[in-house]
Amino acid sequence: MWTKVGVVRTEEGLREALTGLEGIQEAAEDLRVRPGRTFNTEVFEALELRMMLATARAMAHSALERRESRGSHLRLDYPQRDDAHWLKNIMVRKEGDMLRLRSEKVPPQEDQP
Amino acid sequence: MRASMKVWRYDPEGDLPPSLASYQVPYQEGDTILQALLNLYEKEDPIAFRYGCRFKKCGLCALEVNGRPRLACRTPLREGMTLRPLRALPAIRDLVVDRDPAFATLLPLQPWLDLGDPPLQLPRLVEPYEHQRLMACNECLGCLSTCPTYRYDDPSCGGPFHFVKLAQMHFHPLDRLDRAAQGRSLSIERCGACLKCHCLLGIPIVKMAILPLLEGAPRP
Repeated sequence: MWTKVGVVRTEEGLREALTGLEGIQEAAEDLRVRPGRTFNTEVFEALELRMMLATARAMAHSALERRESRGSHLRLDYPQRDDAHWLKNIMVRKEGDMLRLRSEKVPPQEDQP
Repeated sequence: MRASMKVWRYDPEGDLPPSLASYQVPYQEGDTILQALLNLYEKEDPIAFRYGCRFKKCGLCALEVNGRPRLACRTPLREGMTLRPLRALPAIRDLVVDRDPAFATLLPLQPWLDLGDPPLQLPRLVEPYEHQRLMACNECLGCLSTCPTYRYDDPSCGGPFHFVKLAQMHFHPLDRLDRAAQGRSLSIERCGACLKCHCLLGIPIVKMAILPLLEGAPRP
């Protein structure tokens, strides 16, 4: 996530990241943590891992979808901002194990060109 | 490179008595104790320790290194260190202590500014030098481990930490509560100004917090 889904992104890097995430996801299906109820950081890290994986997948997929550069999302393969196509938010919904992406137009705002 | 390190292990749910465990920690030049603990946690043994910001702002990683309080995040790793939890507070597990008692002592004293009603309106505030220095406190509670008098199980007993917090408010230009009297309610007179208390962030605790409260230094 740090090197491939950071500020500077490419389609290739994002696809590699998604493959990597799949591997982690598989490994995360079979987790063992030490028993114990007192300050057991392994337990909450195991819980956090699932949420982090879901968030990471949502980030990588929506970064892949946005084929332009904007703000802190810099696509080396699409270096220009593209207001004609991308004045919208990408929404990600988790349905079972799948992520569903849709985009929503951003209403015109005063500070937009 | 590897460094040998001893870590206090204690599990209230386990069968083994608390003891020092020896480790050989992989490290690179410039690593901190916190980095060494993270390496151990990830690769060898899930030791319990607290940390947050990793750069001396949050105060959560205070522990005792060779018997002296240190911030794990800012202390370089050296060969042969012994890590223990802060002795002044009750142990929870391994290097983790219960921070609650230290704050519970402070809570009844309204540890926030009393601005009066209606609040004082001053045209311009000048921050007193003492206030500026005292506000360096990041509440790591390391100082409590250097105080020979502080007892966490006695609510009428304050330690260096509490007097620093009271002095912060004493030296605030708008606060109106009698913080010196609150210091007396925490038995500040029991402090013999032994100068053993040590602040990891360099606050001169006796000079800038305890003596001013004891002597009722004029408020800004």
